[in-house]
This record gives sequence, C-alpha cells and structure tokens, in this order.
Amino acid sequence: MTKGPFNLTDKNIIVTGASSGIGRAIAVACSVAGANIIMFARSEDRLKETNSLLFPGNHTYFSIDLTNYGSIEKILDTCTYLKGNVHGFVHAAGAEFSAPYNMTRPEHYEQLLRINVISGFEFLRILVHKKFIDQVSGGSGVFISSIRALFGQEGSLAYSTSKGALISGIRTLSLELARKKIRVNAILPSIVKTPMIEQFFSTIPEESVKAMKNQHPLGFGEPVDVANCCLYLLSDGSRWMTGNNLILDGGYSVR
Amino acid sequence: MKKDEFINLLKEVLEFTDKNLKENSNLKEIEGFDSMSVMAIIALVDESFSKRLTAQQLSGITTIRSLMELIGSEHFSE
Repeated sequence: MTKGPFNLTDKNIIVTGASSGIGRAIAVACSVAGANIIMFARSEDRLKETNSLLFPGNHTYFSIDLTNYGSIEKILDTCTYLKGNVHGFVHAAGAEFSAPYNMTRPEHYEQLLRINVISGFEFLRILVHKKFIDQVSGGSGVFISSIRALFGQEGSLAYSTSKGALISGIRTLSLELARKKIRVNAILPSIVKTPMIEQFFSTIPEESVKAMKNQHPLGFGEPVDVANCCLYLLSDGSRWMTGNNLILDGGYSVR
Repeated sequence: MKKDEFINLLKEVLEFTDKNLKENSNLKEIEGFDSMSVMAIIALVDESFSKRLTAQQLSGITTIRSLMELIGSEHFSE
C-alpha cells in the first residue's frame, strides 16, 4: 500500500523551539508521520519532555541559545550523519513582547528580530551552505510567522515587525533556493493556545481576550492545528508550493 | 523612585493630558484609560522595577496610590 504524499517516513526534520507550544506540537506530529526529529531549544529539561512525547524514531535534541549564531554551526558540525540527509527545517523558536509603541525600545525590536527571524534564516543558510540538505532531492523550510505580519494589533509593534520581516525574507529565500529544489514557506497563525499567548493575555483585560475570541469564528487555535499545516508544507504533497504565506486563523481574516 | 517622578512617568507613558494627576487620582476615571493603558502600565512597571504585573492584578487598582502599593511601597519615596 502506498504511503501517500503527506507522510514523512524516514525523513530527518529539524525543529527549533521544540521545547514548548507550537514547536513541540510540530515535533510530535512529524514523529507520528514517521520522521526523525532533531530538536533545538534553550531548555534541556523541556526538550527532554518533548522527546518523551515523540513516537519512536531516531530523535535527538540540543540545548542551545539560537541567538548565539556561532553555536548553530558548531553543533551541526558534530552531526555528520545528517550531511545530505536533512529533508526539512522548521523555525518555530520565537519570543513575544507586548507594549504600546511608546514603551517599545530598540532593544525590544533587536531581541525579537534575533530570535524570531535572524536565527532561523542563519540556521537555514548553514544547512544549505554546508549541504546538510541534499541539493538534488531538495527539502523544505517552514517558518512560523504570525497573522500579526498582515493585520495590526495594538501592543504588538516589535512582534509584528519581526513576523513581517519573516514573510518578506522567505520570498527572496524561496527564489534563491528554488534552483536547489529547496522550498521555503511561512505559516501565519492567529491566536493559538500556547504558553506564549498566555503571557500576552496576562497583559490585557479579560474583556479584551473575550473580544479577540469573538473575532475568530472557529475560536482560538491549538498547537496541533499549526503542526498539521506544517506537515503539509514539509511533505512532498506541497512540492509545488514555495514563497507562500499560509494563513491559519480560524476565520479571523475572513471579514 | 520619588512618587512625583513615577506620576510624571505615568503621565508620559499613558499620554494623559490632565496636568493635575495626583496620588489620589482614580486612574480608571481618567479620560482615555483603556486596555492599552493597562498594557502600558505593565510595561512601565516591568521596565522601571523589574516587576511583572498582570492585567488581572491591575483590575483591582483604582488610584495611583493603590498602583504604587501594588508595586510595593518600598520602591517609592516622597
């Protein structure tokens, strides 16, 4: 029986930010789809926790501060078995900062750009440059952006700036990497129930949270909803899709 | 931090036009106080005192004095 275009059997998928929330859900979903997962995040304890949730496979994890860019290459250099064998890269690592424009300082933009954008692009650059991704069979890069890249939200200046930078960057990346058969896409989720969104909710009154929920015809999302979308973008089923922004918002942007 | 200094910071961050903001002014009765004001206070307190308040905690405050008590009276001087 054929396994169909959406399975990831024996594929090696790198997931950043796999220690919680969306990144964790993506790691789990990819393992269920048959992939081996290589996880990167700061907290070793929480990476261990994610590892314990994965379906059996040849999984591994590395505790790393992704904004210390040099350490990405150092770790990858120890993973010689991955040379030419990375089929997918997901950048789910990210941070959030909520404040009005007049409380948003240069360091806030810089922090978010470093983790949300630059570390992901740098990671992919190393994977391509050092030929971890086979340039004949190709691969897929998926970046978790946000609906905030397209739609404004009070208090999200630094965050939306960083998520907007991601979707601008992937367009150029997708063009440059197409000749190597590497596809690059972004997912733009609206509000997904994660520890990070709980942090955002703690800064706004309860009525505002309710109003936000009412803006989502299908309610808020779950991490697994983003993970399922990610499976599609990582699989051969999306082989003709690149440079795209996949909006995933429970109907938020329909109006 | 001096209490007056904090009140001036609040005025600046919340962009209140009321020049007579005092310790006993009721923040929530000031024109323009909204959900963004709550977020601004949280960011200001975090930046100035390295203390993370939540919107729920702020729902209990009324006057600037009660906000200062929530932050901790030890942080303020006359």
